[in-house]
Amino acid sequence: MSFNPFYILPELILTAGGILVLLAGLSTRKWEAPGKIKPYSPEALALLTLTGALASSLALLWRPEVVKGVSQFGDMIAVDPMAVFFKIVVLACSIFVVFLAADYFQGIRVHRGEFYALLIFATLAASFLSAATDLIMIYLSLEFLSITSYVLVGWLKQDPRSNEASVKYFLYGAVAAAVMVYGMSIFYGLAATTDIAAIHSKLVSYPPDGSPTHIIFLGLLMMMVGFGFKISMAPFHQWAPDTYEGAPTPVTAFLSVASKAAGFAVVLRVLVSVFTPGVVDWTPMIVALSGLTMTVGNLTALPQCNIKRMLAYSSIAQAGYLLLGVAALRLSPLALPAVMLYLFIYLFMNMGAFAVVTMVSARLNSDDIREYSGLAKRSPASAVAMAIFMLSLAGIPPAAGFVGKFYLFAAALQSGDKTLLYLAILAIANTVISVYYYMNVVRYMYFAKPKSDTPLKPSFAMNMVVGFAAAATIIMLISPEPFIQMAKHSAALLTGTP
Amino acid sequence: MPTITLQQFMFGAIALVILGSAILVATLRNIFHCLLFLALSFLGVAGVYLLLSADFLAAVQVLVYIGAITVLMMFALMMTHRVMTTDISQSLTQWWLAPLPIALGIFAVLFRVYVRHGGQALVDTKHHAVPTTGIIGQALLTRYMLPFELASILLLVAMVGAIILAKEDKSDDPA
Amino acid sequence: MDNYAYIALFAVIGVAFSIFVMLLSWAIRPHRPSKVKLEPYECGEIPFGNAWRQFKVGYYIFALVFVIFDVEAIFIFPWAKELLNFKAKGLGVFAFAEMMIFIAILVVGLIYAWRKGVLKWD
Repeated sequence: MSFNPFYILPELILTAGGILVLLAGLSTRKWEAPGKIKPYSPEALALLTLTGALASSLALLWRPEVVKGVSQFGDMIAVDPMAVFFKIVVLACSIFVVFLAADYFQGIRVHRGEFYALLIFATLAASFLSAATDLIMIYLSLEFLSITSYVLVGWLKQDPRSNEASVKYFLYGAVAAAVMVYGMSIFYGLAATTDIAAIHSKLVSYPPDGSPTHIIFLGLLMMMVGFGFKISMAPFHQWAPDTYEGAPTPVTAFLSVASKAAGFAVVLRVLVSVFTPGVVDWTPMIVALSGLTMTVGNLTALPQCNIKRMLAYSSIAQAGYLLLGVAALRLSPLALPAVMLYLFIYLFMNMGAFAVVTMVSARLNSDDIREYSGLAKRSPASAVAMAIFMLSLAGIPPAAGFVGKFYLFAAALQSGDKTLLYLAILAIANTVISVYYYMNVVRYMYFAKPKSDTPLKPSFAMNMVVGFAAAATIIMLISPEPFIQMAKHSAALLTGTP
Repeated sequence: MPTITLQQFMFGAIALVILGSAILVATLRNIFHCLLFLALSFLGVAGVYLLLSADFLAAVQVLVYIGAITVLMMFALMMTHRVMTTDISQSLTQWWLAPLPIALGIFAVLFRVYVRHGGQALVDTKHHAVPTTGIIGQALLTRYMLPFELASILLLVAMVGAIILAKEDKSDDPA
Repeated sequence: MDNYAYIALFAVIGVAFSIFVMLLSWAIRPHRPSKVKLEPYECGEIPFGNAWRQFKVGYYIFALVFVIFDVEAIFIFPWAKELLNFKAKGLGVFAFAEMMIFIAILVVGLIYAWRKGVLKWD
């Protein structure tokens, strides 16, 4: 067994930083208004921790053995480019969330130290989940992520919607995790090991006519309940709208990107490395789930008038598009890079959108889409950025979302499979539907008459964050080539290693 | 007539206790009585663990589930105003059909596998009745070292989260 | 299985003995109830109100913290069982350090609970 602490340096930094932030929080006064990020404040320490972890994750990519992929800690985790890629997405998302939270919690009585400590620990869990290669490790990090999220979602104790959001998330999460563990127990029962590579070798060792296909499929289905809950896949998405609406907006942003990305990491790893061709054919199942998820998400997003609820259904729909790529995994080499590229673009466009939502709701104290009336006059820069994010989420050309969707659809078409072709057509139809509700926000911002003309003044930090996300969204449209290369490179290695 | 071993007899008896008390948990109208039967059901599960030679797990089941979780739930009930004496109907009139196909489906798959493999286990089930505590200790300290340490961070997070959500805020506490 | 036979025997004897004692006292005692005798015994205090009433929130937080440390104790048992084996293999320091890290992280939780005033009973 090998364990080199260097390979889990990002996680070690997160652990130490999380504890430090927790203890630092104990020595600051609770009623102190957060406002600006001061040195030694929990916000500053959290930023330092997350940036350090991000830097050390990037440093991992320079090690030749990491590029080939190494197993660490008794095959509990893999340190390979795919794991590092998802760690980077998760860490970048958390850095965004710190800025959002500093803006959001202005003037709200809040336990600051604990909030950032729990955010860091949630990031730690998501980061382990992206690398986990053992059923115990997958289960533990998934539950860790969930339990931390339940607390973060219910953070506004005085707000009944936040309480409701937390309880709903918890009830769904507990049931989903229980079903998932049942599924895992089936594989432990078959292979007498928790290591997914060893489970794979056991599953392929059955003679073709003696393979217990039904029970394998049942186990996979049950595991997908737990994973589907994390990525808000229909029909396990029902928690999402209420939870997204009731949670503090920065937490909603975390759930919609970091939590979802880590969920996709584990879906990809399990599907690709355990259920190889010959074990069980899961493509039809994922095709059906993908079609259902995108259609349900888009149709229910249409009538929403709360922007967080709208973005919740939008994020369900986005999970549907990503699942389209997952469905094509077996048949097209383009699929895995396309999924990873889309997640990377999704990180910036969704965090950007939530940054604007945080900014508006912190100043107007409302998440109603009608409050965005005349935002073009009240805060022109935010309105332009929000328009870019909405276009990008809809997948319309002057934004990177278009490139991401293009590659996802291309992967489906390249596979040459009939059902995937129909699914791609369904996805295009869904994209057309989605334009309506995304553009609705733009319509309010630019063409509706505002209630008041007082300008909204985003803080310097928020302007920077929104500007950065918008710039990233544009840059990835203009020159997506480096990002595509990076995604392809990471993806090639996952399929290469069992 | 097939002979029934002592182990099979014990399993049958324990299964009856678990199922019986679980049904009472789901049907009784006094929530406090539900809780008591839940504890009995947990005790039965501990018995199943013992039959499977998982002695450590059985001890954990008694210590944590009966000793801590049930007690925690009792406190939660005792704190909740008037819940203890209230009559609560547990029947969900609209949804009672939904779990049925799921349960039947899972049963069908398990039964099919059982029939197809002639009642034989798919893997070697010869478990040796050795004390498992030491083996678990070995595994925790070597192979499962990372999850073991991660579990302590999870417990820390659970404690912080529980305190934040359950404690009343007082203005003189540190932040 | 044999070891558990003793436990089963013990349980059966325990239950049978209590039933026997209660039956015995019921058989030989005189039966003269009065109001004072029928009151629940509260360590000499005079009981008031209904026992089924709302309790203090403080109990709940104590129970929550107790669950955490209960689970921690569960992890310590197998470690304690194996520590000497690890020492024999020359890995004693390694096994000891692992548990110390585990406990240190939970001590942070204890410090947190303490500083938050959770351990105060008022």
